Amino acid sequence: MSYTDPIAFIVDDDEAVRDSLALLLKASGLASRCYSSAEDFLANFDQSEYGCLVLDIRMPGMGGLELQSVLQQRNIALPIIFITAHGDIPMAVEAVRHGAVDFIQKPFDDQTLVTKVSEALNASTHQHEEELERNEVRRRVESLTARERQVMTQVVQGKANKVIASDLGVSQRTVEIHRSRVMEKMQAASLAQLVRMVLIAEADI
Amino acid sequence: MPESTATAVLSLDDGNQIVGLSHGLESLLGWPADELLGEPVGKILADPTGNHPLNDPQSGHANGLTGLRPDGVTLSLDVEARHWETDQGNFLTLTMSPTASASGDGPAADALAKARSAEERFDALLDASPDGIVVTDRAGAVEIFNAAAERLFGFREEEFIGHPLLELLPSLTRDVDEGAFTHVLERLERDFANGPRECQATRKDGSSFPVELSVGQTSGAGSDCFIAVFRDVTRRHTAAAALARSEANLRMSQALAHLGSFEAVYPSDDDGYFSDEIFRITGRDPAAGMPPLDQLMDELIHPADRDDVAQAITASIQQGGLLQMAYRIRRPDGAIRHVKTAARISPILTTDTWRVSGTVLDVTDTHKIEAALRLERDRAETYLNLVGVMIVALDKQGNIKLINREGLETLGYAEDQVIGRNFFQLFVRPEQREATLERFRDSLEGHQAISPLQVGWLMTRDGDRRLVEWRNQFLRDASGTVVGMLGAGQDVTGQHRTSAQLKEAEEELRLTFRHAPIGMATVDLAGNILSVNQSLCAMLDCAEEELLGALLEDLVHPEDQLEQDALRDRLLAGEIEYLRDEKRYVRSDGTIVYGVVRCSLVHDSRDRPLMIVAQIVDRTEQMLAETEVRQHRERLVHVSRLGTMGEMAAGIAHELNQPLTAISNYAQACQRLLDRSALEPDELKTILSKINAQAKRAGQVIHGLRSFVKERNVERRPIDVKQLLADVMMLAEMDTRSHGMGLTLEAETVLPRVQADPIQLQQVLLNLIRNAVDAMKDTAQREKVIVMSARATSDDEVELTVIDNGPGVALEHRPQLLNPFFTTKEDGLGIGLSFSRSIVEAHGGRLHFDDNPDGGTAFHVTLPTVPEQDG
Repeated sequence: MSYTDPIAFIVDDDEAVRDSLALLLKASGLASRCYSSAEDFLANFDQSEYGCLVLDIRMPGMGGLELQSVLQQRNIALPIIFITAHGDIPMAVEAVRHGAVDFIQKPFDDQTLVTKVSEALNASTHQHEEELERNEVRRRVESLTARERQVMTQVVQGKANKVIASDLGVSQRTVEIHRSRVMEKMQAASLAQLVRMVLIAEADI
Repeated sequence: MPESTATAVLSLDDGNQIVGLSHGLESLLGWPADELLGEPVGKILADPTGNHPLNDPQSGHANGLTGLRPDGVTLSLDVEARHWETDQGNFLTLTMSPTASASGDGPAADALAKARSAEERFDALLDASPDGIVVTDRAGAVEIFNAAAERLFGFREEEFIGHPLLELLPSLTRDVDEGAFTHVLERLERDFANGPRECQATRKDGSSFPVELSVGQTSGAGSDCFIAVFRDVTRRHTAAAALARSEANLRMSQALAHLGSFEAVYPSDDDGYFSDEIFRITGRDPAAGMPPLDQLMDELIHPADRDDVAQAITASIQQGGLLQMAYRIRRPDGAIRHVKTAARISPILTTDTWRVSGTVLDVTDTHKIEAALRLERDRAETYLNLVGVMIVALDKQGNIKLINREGLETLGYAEDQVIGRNFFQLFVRPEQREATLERFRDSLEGHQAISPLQVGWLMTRDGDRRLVEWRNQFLRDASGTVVGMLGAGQDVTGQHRTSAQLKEAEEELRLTFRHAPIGMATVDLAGNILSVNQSLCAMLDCAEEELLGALLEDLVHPEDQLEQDALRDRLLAGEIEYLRDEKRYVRSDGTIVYGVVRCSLVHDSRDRPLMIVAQIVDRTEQMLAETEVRQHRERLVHVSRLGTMGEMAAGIAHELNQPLTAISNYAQACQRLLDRSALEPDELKTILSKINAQAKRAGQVIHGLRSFVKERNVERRPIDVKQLLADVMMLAEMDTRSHGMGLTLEAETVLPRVQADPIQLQQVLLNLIRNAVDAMKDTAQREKVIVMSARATSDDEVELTVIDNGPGVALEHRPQLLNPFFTTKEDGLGIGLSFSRSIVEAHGGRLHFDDNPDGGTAFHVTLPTVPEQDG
């Protein structure tokens, strides 16, 4: 897992718009990469990378909305900023309903654009980090034995060792041993941390 | 005459009519003589018991008969009747006296009375006698002149008494002088011993008449006197003469009529009576007489007819009645004659004989003539009825004597309905009858010659009118007198109608020509104007006289005149039926008339070209109208273009947005970099030029739009199809991209040029692309692609196609798709496609659509190419 900088992925069929947008972002200290079509993006996107999408709604071939639903299907959770022309408001609303972060009308005010992209990138970073963490936690959970997992589940429910022992039909001592192993494997310094980790892991279980 | 106590004597004939009376009757009964002569006796005499003594054939007395006076008073009479027989007939005398008789005085008185009554009787007898009785003295001077003599000679008794008797007989006394009269009388008396003698007597008025005279001498009371009795035999003479004449006539008639008469008794040895004609008919000698009847019949009658004759005779005897038969006889010389016999056979009572009397008619000639006539008549009838004309013969009054079948058929009558009826009454209409009759009469009377041909209207039985042409001639009798008129009539109604119809048609045609709303002219084969109508004169602002005789071609605008008119030559040669041409004509004031001229060739009755009929329609107004329409349409087209533009607005906006966005981005980027002092001059340069490029880009879009939108005149010129498509692409991309659709161009590398107005064709293609976009924008399909292609389909055609992969055109919409005002768009006008079609067709091309095999619709625009010029 590498910690890379978030990238703004620019997808627009108009070359001048792409180029000028990239320059603007660069001038604002934001990294970007351009794709001439939705298909192009899908073909070349590296899942290890993260960032946000700056997406033109109207494009020949696969349009912006369609790309959005494809990404959703593939569980690629990139925040999307739609670029629209005036008459696309209904479309844009639709897009937001489906989970787009925002949309901007052409021609844009640069500050608006930079701000939104930054926010999106930040959001993306957070997301990324969270995802990293989640993955780590899950990995740790994976490393637990079945028994250990059982114990963990009970522990985070706030049950005393004694109760856990009687539930599971083992001795209290066994429970204590399991518990410490869980704490170790999970690298939780406290019960609170353990709970938090379980919550994180369970987020998409 | 001594006065009598009224004794009257009457003579009556066989029929009891009064033929003579005495003066005494007048004094007895008061009737004047002329009221009684010829009257029946019952007028004056009646029998109270109803028995008439006159019915008794024997003479006798009757007492107490009633006499009737004119005033109705009756008188009792004693009547003595006596019958007389003479060869003039039988007659009766009645001596009447009043019943009461005066008594006498003694024997003298008795004798006197007797004498008196005898004298009275004598007087009465004299007066009653129908014969004229004249009594003279010895010298022949008349002493007594009876009533009959008065009537015969016209003298009254008083006038003639004392005159010599012989004054009444001048024929006898011609050469005799008066002194010798006595001798004449004596001689007469001697002559008359043998009976009465005829001689001529003379009346008072000098007229002579035949009399039968008897003279007698008598001596009474010592004096001699002559008694002459005169009987008027005029009637007898007349009758005899008549008889003789009629006998002669009869003979003559018989001879003429070949009719003989006969009378004979059978069986008998006596000769019968056979008239001369019989001998002539039978060819026998009258001197030789005739044999007995049965022998005669054997000799005469043709053997073949004998049985029939015998049968006829037998039948007549049995049934009675007139025997009529026709048979042939043989003459001694062998000749055969046809005869007809009419006879009566009656038995003579108390004998075994028959009287046969009758006539024989030689009908040989008649027979022949009849046969010939019949033949002739049949022939004539056949001819009469075969001939195709009506034959009518009229008498002088105009009554129909003869009419043939043709006549009957034409007029609709049967023969028996018209023969004898008046022709003019039947067939000529009342209003024309008198005039026609007068003409008829005039020509009959010779006042007016018959015209060889007369035409008149007749009315048939059904009320139809028929026009008949008559050829008439007089009918004359044997002496040459005109007795009527014979006419041969031909029904010319049809011809009349035809010629009437023809005239009507001619008139109609003339009027049509004259008043037709389009200009018309007839022109000879060389092109000279023969006639013109009013419309043409008005059209060219010329008077008729100016146009007649001029060359039609001279009226044509110089630029439109043709040296050689191929069409006209073909028309004259009969290769084409009519020619149509558009020419400008020059009016008299120099202005132009746009005309469409149509010419057709007219042939004469022998099918040779006769003349040309030209129709010229003034199209000037129409032309101006067309120009206006064209202008309107172009304006409308322009409006449509604007409409198209409007529809593309969203796309245009979007398209302008792109370069604007880019420019703004570049500029803002520059600002940021400058803020951070991170902008290198080179980079700035780059950015600025990019900005420039984008500005130009926007400008181009505007420019393209503007030229599309500008109202302009249509300019057709040879254009490069590829360039056209490129321009279209540029404009259309805005639209398609803004809708997320792809637009691609597929064109052959080498394409011929087309003669067109580039803006109009751009409009068409844009419209098609627009429609494709509209068709697909709301569909759910993934890839929406529009392809524009161009290829040369043949040497002289280029096809441009716009294909989409949309849903296609619904079947029910297809027939109307290219129609104006048909649209499936909610806010569409529906004029785009119809205008597109108009534009394409105006360029000489076609616009049509069909299905894209991959789904969707393909619209095809085919345009003719510009032929490449050589050299």
